[in-house]
Amino acid sequence: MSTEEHAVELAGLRHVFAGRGRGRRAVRDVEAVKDVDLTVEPGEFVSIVGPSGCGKSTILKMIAGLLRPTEGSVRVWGEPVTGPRRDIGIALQDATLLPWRDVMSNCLFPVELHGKVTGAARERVSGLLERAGLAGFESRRPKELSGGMRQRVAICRALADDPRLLLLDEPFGSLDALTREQMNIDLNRIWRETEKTALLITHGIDEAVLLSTRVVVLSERPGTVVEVVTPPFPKERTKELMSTPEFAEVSGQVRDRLFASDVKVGG
Amino acid sequence: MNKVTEAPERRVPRREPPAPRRSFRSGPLGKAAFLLLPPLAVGLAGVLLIQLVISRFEISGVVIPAPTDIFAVMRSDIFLEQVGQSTWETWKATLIGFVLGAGSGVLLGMLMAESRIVRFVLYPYVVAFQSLPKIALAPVCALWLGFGLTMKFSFAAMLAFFPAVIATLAAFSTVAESRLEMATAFDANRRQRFVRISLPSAVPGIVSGLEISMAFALIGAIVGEFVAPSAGGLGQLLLTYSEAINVAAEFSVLVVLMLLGVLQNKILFSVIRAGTERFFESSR
Amino acid sequence: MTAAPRPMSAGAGAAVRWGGLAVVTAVLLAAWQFLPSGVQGDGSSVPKLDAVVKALGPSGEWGEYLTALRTTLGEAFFGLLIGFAAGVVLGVLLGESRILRQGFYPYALALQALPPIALAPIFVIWFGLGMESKIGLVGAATLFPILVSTMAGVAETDRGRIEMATAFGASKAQIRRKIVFPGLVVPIFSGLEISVVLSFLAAIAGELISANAGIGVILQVYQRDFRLAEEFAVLLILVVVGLALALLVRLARHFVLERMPNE
Repeated sequence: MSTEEHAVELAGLRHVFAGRGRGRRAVRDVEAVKDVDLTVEPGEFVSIVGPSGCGKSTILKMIAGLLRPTEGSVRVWGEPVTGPRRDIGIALQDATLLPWRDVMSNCLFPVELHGKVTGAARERVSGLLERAGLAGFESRRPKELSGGMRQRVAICRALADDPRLLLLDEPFGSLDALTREQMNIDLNRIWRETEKTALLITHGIDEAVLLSTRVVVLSERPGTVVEVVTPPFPKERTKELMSTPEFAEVSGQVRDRLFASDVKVGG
Repeated sequence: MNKVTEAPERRVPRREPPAPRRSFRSGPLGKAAFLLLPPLAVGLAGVLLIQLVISRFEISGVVIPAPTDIFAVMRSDIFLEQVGQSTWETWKATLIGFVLGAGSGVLLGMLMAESRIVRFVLYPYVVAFQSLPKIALAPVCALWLGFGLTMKFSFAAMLAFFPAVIATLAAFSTVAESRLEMATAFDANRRQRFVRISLPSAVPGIVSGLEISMAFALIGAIVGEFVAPSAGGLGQLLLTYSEAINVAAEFSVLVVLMLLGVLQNKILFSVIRAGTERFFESSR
Repeated sequence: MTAAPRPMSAGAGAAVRWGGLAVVTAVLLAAWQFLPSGVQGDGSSVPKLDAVVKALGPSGEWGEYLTALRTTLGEAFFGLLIGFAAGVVLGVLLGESRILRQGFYPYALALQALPPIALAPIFVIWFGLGMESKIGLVGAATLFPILVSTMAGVAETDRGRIEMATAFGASKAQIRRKIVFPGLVVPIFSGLEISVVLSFLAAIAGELISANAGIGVILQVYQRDFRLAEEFAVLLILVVVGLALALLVRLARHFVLERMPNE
């Protein structure tokens, strides 16, 4: 193995949700993803886009160690994934903040689980919150925050224990379009400043193109990689970028692939 | 775009915006008046009406004691002495029973929630006991445990036990799967998931269960006193007055019992809820 | 639990669970039969398993059991009927008027905090030792859950639906009949569920305190005469009746919810 290890390496990945029961009430086996090969290099921001139910989240959960692949292998930093890893930070569609904790304490949650709450960790979280525009909100409770703020807290929490890899599963899926755009710009800045490797699951084409160094297009279920698009933009992304013809062209490329003959976009 | 320039986003409104109303009602004085006046009016009207009907139609005090008779009883020294002593005896049994019954109930509920095999094996027994009107066990309890404090608090504990088990089990089984998955993703072990996710998430359900347990503990103590002839307490006092056909005194005891119930079931638990307020928010 | 190794196959898990249940049950029954009984060293205080089984057999006092059960269930039924009717009527009244609701609310809360069973001695003075006093007690005990849930149902009728009906020019009476009342079925039913359990309980409690017939009476008689096998037999019958009531409520709930989806 080379010294330059991949951040994530998926090879021949397949996952089948086992059916249950017999007879009329039986639930059939569902093949969520098949033959997924994908590598993510350190420092990259990779987005996976695909129609609803194409197994995007399944892939992410397998990388996070929450699900086991039925076939194939998942490696993170060269090591096979056997369960949740402490050098991965994750943010899901629901912010899933704990309502009885304040913002600071919510962010420190993973650090606490790993038994590493120190002054330095608190300072790092303070820095993250400041970068996320949440300075001064440390002792607020989730109910006092808007949806967008909660999602930013969730992303800060994902970064709190200084993971090397950030996994994001449609973290802005439940936000309105304007808030979402602002979140994307913030996320881009946080990614640049923290220099993490990031993997984002989304069904927003513009979002994927705006944020990523590479966009992976998945087919309908069972999901498999049909195209990889590389947006040729500098690392720093702005709102203005979205109204350029270049941006439209790359988005169009992704969109065409998504809508290609055998691929339908589900609700 | 180095610094976030956007203002903190619009806050989620915490309460529904106040509907436009006439100004007097929305003022603090008006609010207090609006809250206090109707109950006072209803109470006064009720007392006056009963008093009037009783004196007008000369209804015997055995059927409905006049409010003035009840006030008279409640002011007499003998009654106050008897009722003070009895209230303490009843509440002692209620409290001991609640602590023992609800405490062990919550523990068993947690054990059942955490262990699939324990849950499966014990559940049929819990359901069977749950569907038995447990008041029917009072005579047997009296036979086994005698007619004193032990029987009273044991019976109270038994009544308090089952609501606590059921509520705890339900509270743990409705812990949001997404919270557990989030913790798992951050490599939480089983103990951490229990202590940091399940337990705090279950607090509202457990508190509601304890509230029911508390009410049942009081019922248990009273029924124990009804069934055990030498148990003392408010239950025995009620029976004593009943034998003497002193209905005014019985109503006075009921008033005291009601106050005790309000104090322990409503006021005590609103304090507990206020103290555990942060666990009660349902935020994602 | 997704990170854990895949759980045992359903078959193996079920075998372990059913096996555990069977073993625990067998141990409990064996202990009941063979352990030296008598908490106070008095052999009669816990009846042997075989004695209880005999008391439940054809030679048991079934005539006595069933007569008592009929009395108790009768009291529970008629009391529940009264409590239900009064609860729904009062609930609608209080639900419709905010002023009335505010006026009665503190008293309703206070009365709810009073253990209804404490009313038993007074009902005996009013109605004597027969079924009537227990019916009254059951009525008083079952009234509140139904009243409270009806009131809440009326008061919390979806504003949007009322506005919609108003926009279509519905009169107050029409809104009540077509919007408010249909929405009450589910809340009233959940109050009824609580009250069914309470009715059985209150009837027995009333009989324990003073009565001339019913389950509470024979429980007292068997206790006094140290006929504990019969006492336990009656308790087991009560478990079965309680389960049957619970099942009945559950079936009814299924039926009601099927017919009347809340949303």
